[in-house]
Amino acid sequence: MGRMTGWFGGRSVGALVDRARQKLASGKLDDAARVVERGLQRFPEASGLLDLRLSIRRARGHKMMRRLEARIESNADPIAYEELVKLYQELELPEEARRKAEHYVEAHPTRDTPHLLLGEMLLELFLDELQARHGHRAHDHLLRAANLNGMALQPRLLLAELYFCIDARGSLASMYETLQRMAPETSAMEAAFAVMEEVADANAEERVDGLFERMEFEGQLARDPLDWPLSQRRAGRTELKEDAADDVVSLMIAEGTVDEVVLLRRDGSVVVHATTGNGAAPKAPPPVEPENPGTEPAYDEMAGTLLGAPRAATAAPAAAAPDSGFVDVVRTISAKVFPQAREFDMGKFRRCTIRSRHGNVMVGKIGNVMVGARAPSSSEPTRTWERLASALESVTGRAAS
Amino acid sequence: MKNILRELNDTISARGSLVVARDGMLVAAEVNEGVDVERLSALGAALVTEVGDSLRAAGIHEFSHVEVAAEHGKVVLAEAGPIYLMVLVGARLEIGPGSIEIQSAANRLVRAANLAPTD
Repeated sequence: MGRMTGWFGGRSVGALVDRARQKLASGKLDDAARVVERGLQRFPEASGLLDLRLSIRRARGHKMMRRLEARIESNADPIAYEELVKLYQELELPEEARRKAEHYVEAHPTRDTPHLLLGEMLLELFLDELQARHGHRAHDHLLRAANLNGMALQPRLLLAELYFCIDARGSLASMYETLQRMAPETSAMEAAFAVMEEVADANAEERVDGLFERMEFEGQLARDPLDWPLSQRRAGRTELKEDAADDVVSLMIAEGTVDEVVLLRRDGSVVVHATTGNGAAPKAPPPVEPENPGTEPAYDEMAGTLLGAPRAATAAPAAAAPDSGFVDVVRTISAKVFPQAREFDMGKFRRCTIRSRHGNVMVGKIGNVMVGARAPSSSEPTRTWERLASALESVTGRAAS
Repeated sequence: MKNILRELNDTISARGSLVVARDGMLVAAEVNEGVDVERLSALGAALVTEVGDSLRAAGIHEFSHVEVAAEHGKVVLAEAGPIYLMVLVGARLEIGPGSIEIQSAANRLVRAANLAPTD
């Protein structure tokens, strides 16, 4: 907590950011990087310094990009394509990475790698945004990659993950059988095999295409991607450290930045709920796993209530939540507004902001949780959200393996 | 009302805009090709009624602006007296609930409907 107080209260972060910006503007990338790295040693979570670190990496990456583009232009070099896609990913430019992978597929349609690269990116996009068209395309490209290379494990594992998340148990059974024949021997694979053994059903018949549409309609995957044993191995998969999040939220309320904060898990259950005056509300127990999630449509309290989806045999975690009120506001926005707004091809959601005389409300996803905050009406929502997001991101890390 | 919405769309390059009553009913809409007006009005109704109800239950009795922001676009809902103006725009940073064009259109809508502005 002291560390966070130092960060919020310190003025020197701004001075460091200004100095680094000046160096960057004058083209002194090495000097700018030194200022940023020194600053990050003192203020490891300062978002301004972290943003500048990324800007410097991007500035450095431009030279490499130009070299790789030249190689691609001269002979459509597949290695250059792969390096360029990877570089865009490292520089956190996912759309450019995807666009380049699309070009790679067009230039080398009979190679398995471009289909694998694009398929994996589209899979990430589908799991993130739940738009059926991304699911269809991810599926097509991963199938192409698997068909083009009968020995490749990776496209088959990604297909298995996709089937797991959308509850395509018949397709998962078929992939399980194929993977068993390929017999990879690693501990990670043992865990994946155990999950497939439990979920796959050779007698299940499903239309994978229809399942994509269903996930989009329900605004929710049948299973959490984090429950797939190999998901942590992919870059960017992060998870909130719940205990640390509790401290961060309490601190922000004590500082007066926000009046109330709610953090919800994917299934709608409460991770943290804290308000002015009473501090952190008691935590709800973790959600109860359904005994047999496949027998009825996937359901959570939010989607089921609001979209009219049939109630499943799953335990309703919302019932175990400590209270309603603001928690319901966050659930309603998460379950009703975000899925409907998804229809308009606006890309990844940032947040929903509501202004009123009685206070400002902000709801958005940070890491793997849905976050809602209520702040005084005199506050500036963008700034409040940035502070909250930075603080929560500082306690968000790679999921434990 | 449709003229006001059309002018607003042209001015800020919006993909569509509509007027929704406080009970969630669609009053008027003007959307570009490719935008499903029924879906957009369903989103407006959800914001006004369901989100509105949950806000009231949480002690927030009235709201003046809502913004649903995404990477490539945003939906803005602004109070216009007893009705709401909803606009679907691209990812233009400067367009928000406080944008002068949206506020001006909201005021014109109130007058057009012969309704007294609340402010």
